[in-house]
Amino acid sequence: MLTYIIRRLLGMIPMLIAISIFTFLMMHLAPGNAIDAMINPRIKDLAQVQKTLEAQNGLNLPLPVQYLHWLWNVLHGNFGFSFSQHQPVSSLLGPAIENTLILAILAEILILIIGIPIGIMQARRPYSRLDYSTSIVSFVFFSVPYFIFAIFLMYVFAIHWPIFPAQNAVGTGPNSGSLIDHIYHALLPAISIALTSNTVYSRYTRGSMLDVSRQDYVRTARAKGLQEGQVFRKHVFRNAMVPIVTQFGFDIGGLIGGAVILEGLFTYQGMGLLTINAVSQRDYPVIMATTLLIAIGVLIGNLVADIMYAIVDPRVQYN
Amino acid sequence: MAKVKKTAMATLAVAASVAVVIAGCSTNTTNSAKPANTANTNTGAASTSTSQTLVIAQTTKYDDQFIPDMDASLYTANIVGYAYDPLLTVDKNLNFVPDIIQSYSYSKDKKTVTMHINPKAKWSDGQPVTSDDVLFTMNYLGSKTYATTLQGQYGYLVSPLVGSSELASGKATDFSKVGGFTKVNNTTFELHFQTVDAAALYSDIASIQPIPEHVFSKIPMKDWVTASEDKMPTVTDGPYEFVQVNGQDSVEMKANPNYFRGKPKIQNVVFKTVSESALPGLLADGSVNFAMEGLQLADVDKLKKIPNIKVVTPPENGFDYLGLKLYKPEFKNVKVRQAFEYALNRKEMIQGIEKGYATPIEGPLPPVSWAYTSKGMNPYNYNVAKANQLLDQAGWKKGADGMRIDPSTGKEANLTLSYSSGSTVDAQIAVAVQQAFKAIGVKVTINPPMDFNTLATKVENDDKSIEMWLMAWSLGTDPDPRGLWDSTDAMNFPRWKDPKNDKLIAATFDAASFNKANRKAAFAKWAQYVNQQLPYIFLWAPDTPYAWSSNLQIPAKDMSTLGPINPQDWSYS
Repeated sequence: MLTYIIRRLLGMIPMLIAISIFTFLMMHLAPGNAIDAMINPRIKDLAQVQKTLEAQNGLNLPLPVQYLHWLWNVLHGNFGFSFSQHQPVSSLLGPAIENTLILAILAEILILIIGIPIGIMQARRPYSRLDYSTSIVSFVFFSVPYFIFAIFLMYVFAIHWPIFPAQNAVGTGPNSGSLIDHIYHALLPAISIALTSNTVYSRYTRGSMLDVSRQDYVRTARAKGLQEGQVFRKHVFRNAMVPIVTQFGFDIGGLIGGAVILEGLFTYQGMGLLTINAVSQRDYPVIMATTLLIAIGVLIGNLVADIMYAIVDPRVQYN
Repeated sequence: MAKVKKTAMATLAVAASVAVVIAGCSTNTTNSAKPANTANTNTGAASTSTSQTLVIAQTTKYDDQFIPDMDASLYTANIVGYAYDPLLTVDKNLNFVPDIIQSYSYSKDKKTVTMHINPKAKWSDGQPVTSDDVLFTMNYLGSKTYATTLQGQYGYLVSPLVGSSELASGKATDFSKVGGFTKVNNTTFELHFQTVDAAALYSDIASIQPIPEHVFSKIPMKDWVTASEDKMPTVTDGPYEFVQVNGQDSVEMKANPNYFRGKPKIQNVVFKTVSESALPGLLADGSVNFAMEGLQLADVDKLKKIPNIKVVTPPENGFDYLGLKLYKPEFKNVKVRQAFEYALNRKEMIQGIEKGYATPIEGPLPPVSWAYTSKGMNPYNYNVAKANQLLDQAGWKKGADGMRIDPSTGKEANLTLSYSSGSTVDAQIAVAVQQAFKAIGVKVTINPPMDFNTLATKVENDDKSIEMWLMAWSLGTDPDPRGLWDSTDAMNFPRWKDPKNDKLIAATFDAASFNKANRKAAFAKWAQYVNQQLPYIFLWAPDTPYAWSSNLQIPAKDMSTLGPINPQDWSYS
């Protein structure tokens, strides 16, 4: 297993390099750069200022050289300097990652504690009225984009009844930035995500449990005289978790990317907003850094999914 | 507006609304409306308002760097303007009035100005604001480190001074050693200009916000960008001082008890970044007390129905326009440009597209400018017959199908129009232009929208695909035309090269124009020439909506044409 993990981790390196080259080229294909976009008529010799800044940022060098510079700096832990925000990229990434992780973890927890029990309930009494009614509700929620919920929740629970904050990732005052403050601010957006996305887990759980409950070993368990509850807990549920655990691994990969529209609605300063703003301003160093982190997140998430798959299902061998 | 627009002249904005923050575009530090608002709870949840807190909302995030001019974003500058005062500020009619500088006078040769610092001006730690602080700030803005390592964009503020190029190239580091600055005593200094220029003081120098030398001289300038003093300055001289910066979400400030123009009546100010879609709701429930920007004209009528808030829509100091690349043969004949201006029913377009919240303009100076005059200006009222007649005279004959032939190609004219997807109204303006031109027999093809940066880059670099385009200028406080209108200006997007225009512009800042009445007359002459030549097809000056809680009292003298100013005067009833 260890060899497998090491092999996978090493395999990520060429993949990350390929992703970064691809992103780098894509960005430079887009017309204009952050410095071109400086449009201040008061600057008397704009062309000269732009030239100075381009030289300062190495934008006048050939593309391969620029890329190697970037790579060299990243290997030394330096993500560069944001053109549009005038500060080191690393000082922008820290808060954005923190906010995004808090929101994503909270949302994931809500998704699991809503989705899995619903799936179990439905699988215990398939094709019953309960199954149909909860399924219909789940599908309706799944079909509605989560930002619709976000607007609705914000209006009802933040503006009409001011229970939750309507905006931002942290509040003001002495508690600003504390974990509780963070969670309090992340709750409403997390609920918006969870209302939609829990359906994935409830459907996986239901389907997988129904599959498993038709297996011979379940029939055997029942034949042994085990109580129905025990059959489901010990034999059906555990075995049905295999695909869910895999899905969970993939979710981890998606966590770090943030949720652009939702973050915009709640002005929740996470990775999504950071990335989208950087793209619209051609802020190359920020785009490169966020893309790289998101790619690492996805690759690691896939690896975790594979590892967890092996852990929950002893039949899976990687060696 | 307590302060002066920093970009002295013009900031490019997406036509109709600055939905996109552009590095450099956003330089417009209007310290304008500093707004105010409500209350905050510890968590920032729906606040219960206390009368002592003003919650100000912006819908574009600031960058958390607050040394004046370190960051180029307008939204950052809006906050910085509450903490630092400029040398000169503006009154409600955009005239420059004393601030840190209480009086100044020019030498006979007009190349030196002697400035007197208000002796009451103090830093929040009690130390006086001195000539040394001003010199230190000018050395910072003029330095090579600022322009390169810190990537600062406001070096131009000190560029009129003698020796600015030595500082910029790194050959010198101190204006007082290269002849740009002379300290007379602690509160008096002289600035020496390279040329006689009636605009330089207002369009560049006035908006410099001094920083305290006794604080910043201890930190090497190259490290400022990561210094804690940049993340949250501790010593300021404006009406408010920083209490806490909560990332890029909110900034908490409190009244500066030493503020020399009077201690602010409202004790606490919180700047918050909120989303445009939530802003009206937050105003309605009182968790935001002042919307400094981000309201849409299309929403004004709805906002006016919300009880407890007051909505005003002063006209913007800027204009929307239809640009033409004048080097293209089809636009060379002035009659063609005039025909286009006549062909647009701008009053109707304003009603339909801007909901009535805009004023048609016919020249380069918007009506809010003190330099504006309607005398001698052709208003180009909607007149299809006149437009057709002008096109006939210009040789644009109608073909068999009623569409006109472009004499420069001998083929049916087909003009392309580009616009940005960042604006909410440009798509509608484009269609209106297309229909209006069709009515005079000129075919217009609308290009698919581009994101703002792409369009701006293509326009600026004279990309071949750009023939006509929609954009807007948001202008600086001083009407100095340089930067946008001179034949050699990079931002002269139409590429209008006309020696007569350059001469008329030069007259607006020559020795005679140190007299304001003379300067106004020079502007009138220039504006009349532009009005006749039409390098742009002028559209209108849009209004800018502001809204605040109705219990927030803003004195009439602080209701500037660009929104509320002087937050220290505001109070709660």
